[in-house]
Amino acid sequence: MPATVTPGPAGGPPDPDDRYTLARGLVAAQRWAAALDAVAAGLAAAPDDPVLLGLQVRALRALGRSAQALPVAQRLWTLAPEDPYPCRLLTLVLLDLGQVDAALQAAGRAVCLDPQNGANHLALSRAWADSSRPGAVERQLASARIALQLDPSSIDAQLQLGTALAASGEVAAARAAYREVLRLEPGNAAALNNLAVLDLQAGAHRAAARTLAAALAADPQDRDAQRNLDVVAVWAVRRVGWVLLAGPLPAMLAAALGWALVGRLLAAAVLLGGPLAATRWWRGLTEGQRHHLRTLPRRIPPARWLRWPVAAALVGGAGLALVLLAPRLVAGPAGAIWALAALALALARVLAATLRRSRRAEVAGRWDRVRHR
Amino acid sequence: MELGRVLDSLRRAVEQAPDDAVLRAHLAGMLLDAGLAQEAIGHLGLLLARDPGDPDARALMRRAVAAEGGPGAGDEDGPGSFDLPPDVLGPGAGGRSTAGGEFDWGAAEQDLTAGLTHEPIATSLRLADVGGLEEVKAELEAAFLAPLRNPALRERYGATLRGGLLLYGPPGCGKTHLARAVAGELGARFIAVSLADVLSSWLGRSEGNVAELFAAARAQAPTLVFLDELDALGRSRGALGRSGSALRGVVNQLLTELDGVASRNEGVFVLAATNAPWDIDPALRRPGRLDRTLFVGPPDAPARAHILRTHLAGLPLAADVDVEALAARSAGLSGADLALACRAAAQAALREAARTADPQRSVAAADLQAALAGVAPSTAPWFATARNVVLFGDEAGAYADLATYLRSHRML
Repeated sequence: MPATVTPGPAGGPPDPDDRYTLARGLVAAQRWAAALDAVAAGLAAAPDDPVLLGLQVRALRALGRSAQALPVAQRLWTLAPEDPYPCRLLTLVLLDLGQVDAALQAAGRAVCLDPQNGANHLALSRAWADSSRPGAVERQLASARIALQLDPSSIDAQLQLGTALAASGEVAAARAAYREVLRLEPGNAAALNNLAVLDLQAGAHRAAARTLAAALAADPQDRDAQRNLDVVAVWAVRRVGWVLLAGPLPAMLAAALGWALVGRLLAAAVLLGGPLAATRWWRGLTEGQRHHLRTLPRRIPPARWLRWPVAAALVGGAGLALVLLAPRLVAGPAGAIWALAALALALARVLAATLRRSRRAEVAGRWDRVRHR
Repeated sequence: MELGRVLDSLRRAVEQAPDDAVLRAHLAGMLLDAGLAQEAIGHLGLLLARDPGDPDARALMRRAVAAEGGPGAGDEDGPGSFDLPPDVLGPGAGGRSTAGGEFDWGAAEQDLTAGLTHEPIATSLRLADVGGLEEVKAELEAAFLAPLRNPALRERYGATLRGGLLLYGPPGCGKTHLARAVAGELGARFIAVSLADVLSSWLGRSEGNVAELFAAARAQAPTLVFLDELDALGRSRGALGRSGSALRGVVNQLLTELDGVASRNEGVFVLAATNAPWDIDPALRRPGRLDRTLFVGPPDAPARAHILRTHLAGLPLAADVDVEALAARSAGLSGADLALACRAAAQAALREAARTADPQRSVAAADLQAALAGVAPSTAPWFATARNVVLFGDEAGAYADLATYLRSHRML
């Protein structure tokens, strides 16, 4: 009989691990509620069982019940204070609850208890990632590098390294780290999402949309990818605003130069060609992208992203109306007023975008969600 | 050489008509004559599994076992005794001998079934009792139940009693209820299994449990194996972490059993249900395994009326309660939501009866309407995920029926 195969229930002594089996299996299968029931049944017989308490913490966290997981994690830690695993679990729970300093302490203790375990350094790196202390980015990166050094096959460590590199501005290296995750585990939704975030930050919205679609295909419940896809949708709508504002410009210019007929023809071309181009663009989108755009108002209040395109449409429409109905006025004060309005609107838009970018830099990850596993 | 050709022809004939007991017995007899006792035992085992009292099969089995030199070899009365002392076998153990010394195949068969943790489901529910789900019921009827009931039909259309059907849809919409109805149709030939039935702390034992389950199904064929919550039992191996090694083994074993490489799966139909088909290991859905999928959505109006009637049965109802109207107003609610609404309405009526000290107070239409209005469709989060699957992750069109449903209900 091979050494790894233990005898069946009928042929051997009772297995001390028996009470863990179902709970472990349910946790592995991500049947969190059922796992909690199985854990509760086990804890009724052995209330201080550290394995069961650990499984309980994992299930509670997965169900978004980190507040309930905290006392369990603390109890686990008091039961096994010299074991780094409870410290790591406590770190994650504390991070869920936004208690970053306490999480740093717990992760630091885990590293002290077993500095040769990459998982402990990984927990510390995650805690530094949420910290706003000076030098947090560097420490996050250093811990991630140690974690990966100690466990080169760890996908979580590789992912964390990518996040740390991105936070420290090493975008190319971050991309390489995420691609390595995808090489190790094709279809890793977190790596895909984080690559898309890098694309978004670089202004490559189309590439980001494709990558986010892949992330959602890999994990249809990925809320971060959905929110990042919203960023792409808002970007697309805002680009439409620029097209609406700039569309009448050639017609206005022709009318201002006294070429009324040319101006009218150009205005008519914009009026006819615009919807045609819009229809073509719409049809060129994937069904997912179209649905995401259609349902955008349900997720983000229209006031936050529709003001600019509406204002641009009004100013652009006024310009076209002027060219079509009174082309002679374009060269006069009416045209000047329109040009000023368009310029003011464009400047306001650029200013707002600049302000938002700097604000986003201050509040990292407000929209562009980097995802951890 | 001539005998070999005859045996080949007979084997092919048995494959074509696996339920023909006379033919199988004849083949077994010829195999014994040809000295192929082991193969004969396989056929005789199948015959005895279906009819433990078959005297011809029992006689042939005795011959076959004797020829193989197994327990009771050389004993004309069959395997009536074993060499192990009773204290090793445990109390009451002493072989399966009847008073006449003949091996008790029926009792042995009962032992085999009793040893399994997968008990047949006893229920009086029938498919006709399930409201709505007509398409699913029709598919089940065509794929398994009709060929099972009518061997002539099966022969005419070359249908087999093997394969699998995966039911998927939001929770609380009747997948398990439907499976129970199938159990009612099949009686004892239905084996339900969930993750808890399979998992074992013994290394390698979980896989053994799966193998045992399918062995039992084959022995009792035609049988329907119901794999509940397949996303747990057959979770994508790529998504299983380090703690999922036991589950990985279960998935691998499940794949082996569904392929039926080691043994024929004729007569073993696998019905599976899941809320998350996208979490199932893709290999399980390849042709020949669970290749047919059916979307079980929230109940339609007639089904909702049926569910409401079921849950309102036994409650004192006011004359103004119009179940059809209530069903029309409860679109999008699952069976579980409707059950919840009925309970809430009954509680409201009870509270009102206690407050007004009016024991004659019945559940009125207003109670039910208020309860239905207060129940949010529990299927909403599921559909949010399903929409993403259809929009971003279904290039192969595996969820065409789901996409059709989402479009027809303006969710896309």
